[in-house]
Amino acid sequence: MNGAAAGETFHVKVELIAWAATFVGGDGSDRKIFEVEAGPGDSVRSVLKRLSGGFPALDEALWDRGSGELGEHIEVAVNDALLGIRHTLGTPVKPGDEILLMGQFMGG
Amino acid sequence: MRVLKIIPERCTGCMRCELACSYEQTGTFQPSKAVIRVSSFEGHTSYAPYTCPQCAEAWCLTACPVEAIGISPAGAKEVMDDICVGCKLCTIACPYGTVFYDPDSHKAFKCDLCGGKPACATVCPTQAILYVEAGTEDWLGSFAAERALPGALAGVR
Amino acid sequence: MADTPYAYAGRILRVDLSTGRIWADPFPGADRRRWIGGAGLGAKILWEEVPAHAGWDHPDNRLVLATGPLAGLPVWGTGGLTVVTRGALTNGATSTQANGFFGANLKFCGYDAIVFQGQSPKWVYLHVTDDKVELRDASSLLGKDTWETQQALEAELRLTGHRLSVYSIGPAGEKLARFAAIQGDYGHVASKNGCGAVMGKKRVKAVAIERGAKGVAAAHPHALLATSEEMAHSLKTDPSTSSLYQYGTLPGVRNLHGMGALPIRNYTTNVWPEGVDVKLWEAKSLREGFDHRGHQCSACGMHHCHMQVIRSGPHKGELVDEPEYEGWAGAGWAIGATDPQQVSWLNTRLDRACLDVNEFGWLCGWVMECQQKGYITDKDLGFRLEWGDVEGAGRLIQMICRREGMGDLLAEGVKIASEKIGGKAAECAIYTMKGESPRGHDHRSRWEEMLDTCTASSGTIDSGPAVFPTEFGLPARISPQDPVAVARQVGTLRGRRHFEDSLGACIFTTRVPIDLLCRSLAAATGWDFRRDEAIRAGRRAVTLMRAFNLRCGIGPGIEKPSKRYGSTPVDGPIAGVSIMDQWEKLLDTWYETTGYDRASGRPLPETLRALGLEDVIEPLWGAGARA
Repeated sequence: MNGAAAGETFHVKVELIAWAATFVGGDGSDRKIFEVEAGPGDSVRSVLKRLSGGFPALDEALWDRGSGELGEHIEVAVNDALLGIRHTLGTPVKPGDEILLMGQFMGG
Repeated sequence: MRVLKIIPERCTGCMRCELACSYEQTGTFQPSKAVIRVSSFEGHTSYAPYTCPQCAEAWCLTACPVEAIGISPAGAKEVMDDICVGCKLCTIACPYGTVFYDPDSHKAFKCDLCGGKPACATVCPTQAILYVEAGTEDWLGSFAAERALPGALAGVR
Repeated sequence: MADTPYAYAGRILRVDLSTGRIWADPFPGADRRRWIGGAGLGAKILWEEVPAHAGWDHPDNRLVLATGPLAGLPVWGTGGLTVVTRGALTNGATSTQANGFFGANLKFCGYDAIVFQGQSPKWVYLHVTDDKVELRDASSLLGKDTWETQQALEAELRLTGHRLSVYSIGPAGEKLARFAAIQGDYGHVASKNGCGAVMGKKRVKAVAIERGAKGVAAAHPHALLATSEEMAHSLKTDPSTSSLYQYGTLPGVRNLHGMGALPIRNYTTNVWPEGVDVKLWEAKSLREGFDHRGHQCSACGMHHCHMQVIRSGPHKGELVDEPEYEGWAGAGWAIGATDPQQVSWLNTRLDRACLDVNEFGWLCGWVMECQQKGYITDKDLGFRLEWGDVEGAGRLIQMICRREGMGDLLAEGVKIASEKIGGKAAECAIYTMKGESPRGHDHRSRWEEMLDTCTASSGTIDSGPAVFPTEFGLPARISPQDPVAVARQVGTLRGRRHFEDSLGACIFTTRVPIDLLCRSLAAATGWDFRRDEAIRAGRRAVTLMRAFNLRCGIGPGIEKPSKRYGSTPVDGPIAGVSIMDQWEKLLDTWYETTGYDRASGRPLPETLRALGLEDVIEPLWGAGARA
């Protein structure tokens, strides 16, 4: 059991690579790493909302205006697995979790 | 006056300037009638747009035997179609090669700065063509004047 | 030129290679609106003129080099070429694109398309300058690669730069390699389904299009210029395209690796090998790791196509074209090569030989894996080819181009080669049962692309990656492993891409809201043209290609991946997830969404009727179906 005890806060690492980093002030060639504070009851969604709350460009790129769900521009992986495999947006986060954001699939 | 300043290092050879220019000149997109042209050095991926620098010397205007070339409110040397007789003297006189002859209309044609809103500068996606305040002194002017002096070539073997 | 319609030249150049006859057919107004150009026009010609018995190498096959209404106009990326033919890998319909200046130059000569038929008795090239069109002897060009061919024609015609657009085949096309491409204007490749082999079979070495003196008129030129600026603004600023604007497809390597979609070592892993300098594979490093210059297509402002000079290694100083993402993948990751300088060199060798970089990646990666596992011995191949051996891969290109030793078999593509060798070797080859090459990603994590590739009718993907899915009433994002959502997305988006490929514009610069595309087409042509008509036109084109394939006997029985292509990843972000467990569900939903018959693959009569393809109902469904 590696969940947090009640009331305890911890950090979730959120890494933005490649183009996704431009939405938080990067130039698209480097990674940006944030330690986002989380606690019991927090999910992948609430952690991402907390981060995007501080970056309007990320907020616009990450979320779909109409539905409030993820938009089409950024891909999300949790603990090295794409969202949808072992996690959804609603999955609770726990200490040690790592979220990766990257630019969308383009073809070409 | 404001003239077209060209920065060849920025040009990627997309030729959009020629399209927009020809539209201003003819009403259709017809780059063969453009008065800005892009010189390509393909093996070096190098491109150099060139057009009339509106030189102060105004060789074309001086050469024209029927005074068909005047100076427009924008400061451009402009061919007046109704006066031009198509003798091509201006195309020969221009040291920059930027006065052209249209075999269809039998008239000379050249950059008129689109009346002060040059289309090439507007549409260039890489800002390789700027419309800016700049001098129009003609560096060829003094060169030519020197050459024209009697005996100037005496020392040349 | 008095009767020249807006946005079109209004004429189609026809060339019968068997007889040497050259003429122009009108491209009448009703046809223009119905088929637009490019892929649509090509599909129409294929359906009407290529009978079932005329395979890819038959003189009655057509090779259509078409452009479209936006070509030659100031919308970004409008030098567009769409090649439509019956291709050598699937022996079915093909629609494959390239850019450069082909479309613009051809329009200024007064033609919307070139259609080759027949087979020339000797090697020729087609020279077009305004109304002067000639088949010329190409014997001096034989054996030259595509860049050497263009240089030779530049010298012969005394033209440089974009005043001459040359699309040609290299030695691989002359030798009918089944994955030969048609390459043009230094680095632009119509690469899919062996269209270069068709050109080779017809003995056409090159087409050389001088920029003509004619004009292209727009119905509402000011609106067109304004719309093209709006499109440019969208490309620069929209989150979905700003990276494309700045770096083309270079960011793909990092992104796709993160999502398990970078194909590494013939799909044997989804994780970078130890010791790879990841920093070198960031977009910015891929660009700035080379001396580089923009080499844009007609009227384009994207910082996409570049030329670069190799900075280090055995090929230091060579001028190459900057690889697309798929070049970094096919000439790099798929074969285990991890040095960008070397990969870039190999990518250009492929362009110059005229080989499709996707198929080469699958083929070369397969040979490497087979060597490692002992399925292909050093003696079989003639040398040892290890993972990541770029010089060895270059040697493989030469063998294929000369059909030398095992190169003769490899020139048939990885499907035929692996089936021939058989045994365990057959199980590790990446291909579709229909024969077309998958694009350069690991589709085991991009289900939509695997489904799209396997069901496609154009010799490559039909729908492509989603562009603004909400415009079609789809959710902005779907769960990538939800078979119903995936298939619904692929089926619903069907048509957009073939509409884009009918315009004479680039697939990357048309990545803007579809209403904006419609407005630019309306400004160019004067038509009242809306979204519904655009989608119908695109679906009409791709549905007709499907009808063509069915007539040629290519049906739904082979709409599936090879064993390796559909295998389950063993590591990385999608480890253990199997697409084949959901394959039937994917197909069921896709067929339901597209309005095609699940059992026979045929578009249903009501689907055909809705697309205005009533004429196709009887050939597909028999005489009674109309009632």
